[in-house]
Amino acid sequence: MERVLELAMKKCQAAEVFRIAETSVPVEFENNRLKRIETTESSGLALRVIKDGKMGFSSTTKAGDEESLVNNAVAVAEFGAPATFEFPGAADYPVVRNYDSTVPSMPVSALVDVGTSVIELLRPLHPALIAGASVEKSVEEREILNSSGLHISQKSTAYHMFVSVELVEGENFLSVYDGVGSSHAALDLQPVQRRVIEKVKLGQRNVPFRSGKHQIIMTPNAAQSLFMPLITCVNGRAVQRGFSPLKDKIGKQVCDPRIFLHDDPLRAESISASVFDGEGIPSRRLPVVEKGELKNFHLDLKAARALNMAPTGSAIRDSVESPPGIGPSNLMIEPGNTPLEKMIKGVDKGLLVDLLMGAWSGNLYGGVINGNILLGFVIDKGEVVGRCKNAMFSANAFQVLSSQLQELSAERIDYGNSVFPYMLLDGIGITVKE
Amino acid sequence: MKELLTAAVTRKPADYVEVRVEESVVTDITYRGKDIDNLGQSVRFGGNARALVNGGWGFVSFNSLDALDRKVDQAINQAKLVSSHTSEKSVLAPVPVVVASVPLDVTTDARDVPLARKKEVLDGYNSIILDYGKNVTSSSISYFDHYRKLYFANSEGTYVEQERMDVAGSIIAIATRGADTQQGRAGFGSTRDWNAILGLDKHVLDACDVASQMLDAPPVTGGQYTVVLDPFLAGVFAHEAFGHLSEADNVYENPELQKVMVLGRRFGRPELSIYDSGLDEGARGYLLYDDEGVKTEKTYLIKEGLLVGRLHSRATAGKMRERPTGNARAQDYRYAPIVRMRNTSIEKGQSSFEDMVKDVRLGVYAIQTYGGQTNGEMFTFSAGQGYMIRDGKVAELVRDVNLTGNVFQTLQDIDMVGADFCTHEMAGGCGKADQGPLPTSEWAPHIRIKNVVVGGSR
Repeated sequence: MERVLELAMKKCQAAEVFRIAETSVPVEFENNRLKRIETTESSGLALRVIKDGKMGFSSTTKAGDEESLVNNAVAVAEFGAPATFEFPGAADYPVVRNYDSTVPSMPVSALVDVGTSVIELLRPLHPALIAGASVEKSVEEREILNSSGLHISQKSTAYHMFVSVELVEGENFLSVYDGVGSSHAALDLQPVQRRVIEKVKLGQRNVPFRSGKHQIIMTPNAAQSLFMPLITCVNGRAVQRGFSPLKDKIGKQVCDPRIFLHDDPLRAESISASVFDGEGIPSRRLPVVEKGELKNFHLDLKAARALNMAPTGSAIRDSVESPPGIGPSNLMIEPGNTPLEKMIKGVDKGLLVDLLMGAWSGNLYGGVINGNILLGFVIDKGEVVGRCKNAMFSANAFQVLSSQLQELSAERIDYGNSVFPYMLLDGIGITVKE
Repeated sequence: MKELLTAAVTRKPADYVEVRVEESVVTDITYRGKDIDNLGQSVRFGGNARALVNGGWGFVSFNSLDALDRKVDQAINQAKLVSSHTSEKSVLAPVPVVVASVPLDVTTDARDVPLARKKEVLDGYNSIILDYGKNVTSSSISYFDHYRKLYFANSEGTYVEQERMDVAGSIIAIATRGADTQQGRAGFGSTRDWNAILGLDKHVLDACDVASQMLDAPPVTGGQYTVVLDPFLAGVFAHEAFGHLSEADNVYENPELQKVMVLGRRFGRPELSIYDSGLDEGARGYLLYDDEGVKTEKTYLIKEGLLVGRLHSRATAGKMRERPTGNARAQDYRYAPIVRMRNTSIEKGQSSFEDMVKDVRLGVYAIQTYGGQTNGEMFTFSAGQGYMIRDGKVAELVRDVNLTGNVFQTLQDIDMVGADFCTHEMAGGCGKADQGPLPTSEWAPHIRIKNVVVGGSR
């Protein structure tokens, strides 16, 4: 890295080298059995340079390729984006619990055992059930070195499990997905298993439902879909470019006063916990919405400069192949007071929605959430009685969050990179195929 | 390279071993509004080894070819560990041993086009959007060109080298008024000719028109409609609603699904034929050999309404005792190949657009797409924009048109297929099992479907 910086600084006025090295071992179960064990080792370098006021980016996964890495970045900088910001210098960094030395040393056979026991737990639920699981451990190192004097690195671990169930009876398909992760090996897998079993059991009986405006309970999984437009619109890039409907709403009421949304990359043992963001800005817990008021946007260096604000540590880098983007790392919604059981009891006729398919594909800037209810359950007189099929969920997420929220549950589900409660909504448009 | 890879897979204690290596160069250009947001050039180098032992797979990926032998051994050891937990046998459908080299066959190579020229063309489109007015306030342009050299060797003696080019992009006009934001889109893509990027002025202007007009368009009223899909959306429908269901990795170890997907069963009316092909030159889904070194083909999935085929890797074809089709594809060297589509198309029919619309009292004409998704049985996708059809005529513009349905029922409800088959390409691609976006194509004519659920908050 030092050599890359040195080479770059001979030709440019500023430079930033980013390195990522990851080893992950996913153990894959498909169709009720262990199918594949993988080891993926990847490492690479990314370079951003500022030359004559313009920015160039290059990356490589080829070892010993430092010179062409620098030459590529310099060559494209001639036509690049105007460099509007400086790379940050060294700062005080938080201490984050995101590394567990027992994760890299977990034997592969232990991952196999975890997956095997999940498959064995699920299979007896139905003779035609097809279960799959992915159990994965990984260790990642990231390092940033720049010409402003910053040189920082972190090592983090991850352990996660993802479970899927397919149950086909004639032309009736039931698909159930769930998962959890942590940076630490002491991860409780019981809640995921319980949720999957419950969904498979409830999902086997289809129950008719009528089109109309209904009371809907969103599970924490579905509730995440509901926040997608808001997250898209607090993205600093959309704000900076002026087409976010939230662009002038800092300090204004954008949600129901009971909504508190934080993005917390410091949350101990969460899967995306990090000491610094993709540009080397110290991570911090960011209030996004408090008492329904918009508090902050997600900002990287560029968006922060354009808006004359401070960066929020929200630059995201998933690989070396693209420059930093902007996004959340660990979203958390504060719980409410209503126990889930009581929430369900209070619904006379409605749905418990767990998974919306295609909800991401509408016009998110307009708040449009239109999705097929891939997994949803009918609530009749306070009881969950079976599955609702062939139905479309249609709502404007901004309206829902500001005026259609009835209750937040006391319980929350921790998926490893988000923590959400159940949400009871009113007046949601459901269109059912007759 | 040939000697290195061939030696690494020969005489190994496994039922099957393969090694893939990839070297690629990507140029990325993105605009966000008037300025370039990113201009980058990336080199990707890496490889993987995959081994099969008694029905168990091992897979190792890496960035360096040093100690390649040890990496192959590691894959074999992982495969052995898997096989110790299962009583399966290794079954791979037999394919001819191939030794082939596929050099780049393009009319204009993106690497020969100076960066200044690429930028000039994109600047032109960006200016069209930013000069348009009428509430069109911003733009979003993504362009990439991707050159790849792929090497493949397996323990059966197959060795394939392939060079490929993929150029694609999307050009989005963004209109804003108050808190309302709407988009209109144009796109392009080619594996043969960089010049596919040229001559899109009219499409970009159309995208501006759409973005601007959508600000005044009401959301569609939810309900069940007769829907006419434009060729873009019809292609995405074929991909989402039927292509994924045809991927044999869902079917080959699921007896219940095999009962549903019986070859010869009627899935649609005689007007409907759907195929998936690797042979369409220029298409982003063009592919001569797949990532198992299997020659691709044109595979009919539905012919005149009957199920006649499905998409296979060697493992799925072997287990189902069917013919391998060359559909094993990997996103890049970090992934094992899985069953994927290439160019999934609805074959040309006989109806004119006027015929499709003329007897529809109340319907929706859905155009372009933001994307879609499926679980096999249900599909959903959103249109870029829609028009109501009233009393046999295309009427007012509506927005937030999202379609959903049951795959089996909806295929049977396709009652007209247009004679206006057209080829078209977009940026983006297909995502499956964490691998994406994989370049695919979706060609089609207009089609008409009865009784489609259109979501709407009204």
